[in-house]
Amino acid sequence: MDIDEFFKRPTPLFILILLIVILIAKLLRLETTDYLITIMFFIGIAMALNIIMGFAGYVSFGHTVFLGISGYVFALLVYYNRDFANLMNMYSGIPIFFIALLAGGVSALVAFLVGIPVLKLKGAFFAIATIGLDFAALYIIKAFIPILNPEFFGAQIILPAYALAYKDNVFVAMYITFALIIIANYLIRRSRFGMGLLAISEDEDAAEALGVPTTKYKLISFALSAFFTGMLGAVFGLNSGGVDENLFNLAHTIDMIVMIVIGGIGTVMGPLVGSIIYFILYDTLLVTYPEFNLVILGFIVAVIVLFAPRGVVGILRGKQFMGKKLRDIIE
Amino acid sequence: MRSRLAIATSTLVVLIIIILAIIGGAVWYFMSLQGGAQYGGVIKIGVTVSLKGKFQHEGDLALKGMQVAVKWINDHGGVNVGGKKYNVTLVYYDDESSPDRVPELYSKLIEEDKVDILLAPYSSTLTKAAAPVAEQFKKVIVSHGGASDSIFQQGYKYAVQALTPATKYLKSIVTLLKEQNDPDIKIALIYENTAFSSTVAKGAKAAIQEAGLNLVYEFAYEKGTQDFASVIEEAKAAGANVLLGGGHFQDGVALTQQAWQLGWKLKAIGILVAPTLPDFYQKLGDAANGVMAPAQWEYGVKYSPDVAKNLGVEWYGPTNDEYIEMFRDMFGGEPDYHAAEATAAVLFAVKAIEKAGSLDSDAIRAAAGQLDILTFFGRLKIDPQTGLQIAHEMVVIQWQNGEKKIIYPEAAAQASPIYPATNWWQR
Repeated sequence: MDIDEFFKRPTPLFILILLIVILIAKLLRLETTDYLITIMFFIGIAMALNIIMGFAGYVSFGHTVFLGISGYVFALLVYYNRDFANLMNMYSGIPIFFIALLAGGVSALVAFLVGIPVLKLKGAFFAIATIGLDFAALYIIKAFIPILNPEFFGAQIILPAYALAYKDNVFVAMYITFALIIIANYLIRRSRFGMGLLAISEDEDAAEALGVPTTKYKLISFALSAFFTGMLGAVFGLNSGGVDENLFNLAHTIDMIVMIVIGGIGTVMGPLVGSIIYFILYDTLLVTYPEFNLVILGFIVAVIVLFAPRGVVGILRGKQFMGKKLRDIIE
Repeated sequence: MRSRLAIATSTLVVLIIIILAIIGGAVWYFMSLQGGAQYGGVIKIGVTVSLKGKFQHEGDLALKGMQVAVKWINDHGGVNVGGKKYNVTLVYYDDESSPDRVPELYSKLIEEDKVDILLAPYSSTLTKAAAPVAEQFKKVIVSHGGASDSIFQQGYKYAVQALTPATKYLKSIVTLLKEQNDPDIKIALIYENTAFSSTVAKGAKAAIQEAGLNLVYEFAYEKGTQDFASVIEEAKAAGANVLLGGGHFQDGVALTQQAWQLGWKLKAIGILVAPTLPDFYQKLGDAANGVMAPAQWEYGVKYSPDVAKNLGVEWYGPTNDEYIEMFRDMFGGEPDYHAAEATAAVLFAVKAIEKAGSLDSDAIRAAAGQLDILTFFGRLKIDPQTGLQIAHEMVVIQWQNGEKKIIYPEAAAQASPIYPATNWWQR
């Protein structure tokens, strides 16, 4: 792809600008480090789920399970291996990213194995099966962790202070993870693989008949989605000083789904814009109107879903701009 | 036509969002301006409280407790820091009982609201997310609702604790048992297998060993257990004559009830949580008499300035009557221990600042390590190294003739303990 064509397309440009803005906000201290880590986490989980839900049309309602699995893998690795913990304080936090890769890999493996039977289900049945997976994993961890080490407070692992000595390192790891996820989203959307996923979401049988290897594609996208979700869970768990049952909380999945839906399903730009709007709105309301924030937010989300069922970006895609069909350029 | 409508609605939606964002931003700005415009003599205490979610009840009471403390301090001339008078103000956000936004909100408290000292959120789950932020910015953070000890074993330098940790929950009852000088004490420890109760049991075992008492039976039952018959028979067979344990309300009631029905002759019964609630007596009647329970704080404890004088430590804060009256005046309800421990944490934080004579965090932390005060909540003193609370004792209550009486420690007691529990032992 030549460079001119690259800049004619708003999505990569938007991704580039977003990454630069976050970096500037960090360097000029426009926002606190923890704010940036948190916003990247929330945009990231929406983008990670987007790969299976947005592209392939499979609503993985228990997706938060991968935050939990990788969060715990990461926390255990760091808790029991002091070398890891020491490494994390060196090289600007890049080792955190590599340990998170490892933790994400475990989620990908779980998703792959579970996906073989579960991805045969469709619609609500798939969603319910993934919720089941979430609860199963949660109960296994609740039973397993206290046996593993009675020093833990129940299923809660609190990391030692030295593991989290520099929040800037966590920022670096989160930033790389975040960049990886949104760039991967864009590349997948543009690829033959991504086209195949979109075909699956339109009509799976037709896609199969036209030669899309649906089973393989679904499995890969589920595993990839779990991999990215897991990486975020690992880094975010570290930033929370440790992991606990909260990572398995279905509220995370609801956040992810809402962010994707208000942005526009089936695109890269949609969940990106949707999650930014949702996060900033949520955060501002939480700080300013803690009593009513959920009511106001619920109202706004309801309005968007009612009047723009295809999301904020979805609506734009139906329009023309300066003689161009926006559908052709917004991905 | 359809597309025109779509344009109109989408424009409307975008407009609504923009307007709301502007309003929100304006209010936010205005509020921060008010905060910033206050005169130099204000000490800001930052905290997130759980106004929604699973800790809503505890969070609400904790916030009220903090507000009572702030009002009391300001009504009594504020704080004297290095010869200057300061007022105290509370800056708080809602953490929705989830650790997700805790680091972000604590960063905001420190960097944007420029608070001087922090209080931890409720529960150890949330505290573990706040402690690294406090550490990063070198701010002292006082824990009021995290009874877990583990956060204080991770090397956080600026975290200090204002309530009794879980491992010490049953220590008061064990001490009380030892003071009876009864050579024939055989303890059965039967507790719920949850994070909190297991930690309590672990501490109880250590205390029993330390006191040289005899532990003859131990069993951890799963959450939700209602049938204890076989466990009780096993404990009886092991010769146990003292029962310690429990977990939550339902199981605590069931355990006591079945021990009574199965004719277990017990000299003493110490159950977590359940007996502190009035429902306990209503459900059990005479079986409740003699049952003991530990509590962080109880309505009617007798800590007072006179007691402080006897102990040779400084008294700080409202008296119990004053406290309860202030709470009623401000909020119209009764405080419970969640409120009391939050109040105590504010008092401890402010006293540490006063003792430090400056708002420098290292000075405050050093002063906190030296502090030894008595408040309506009890005595407060931390281990200078780890920040763990070492002086605050659980009060022990005992049901005596249908009334809940505080029996331990002596400084707080309303009545003397009945040992052995006559209605259980001699029947």
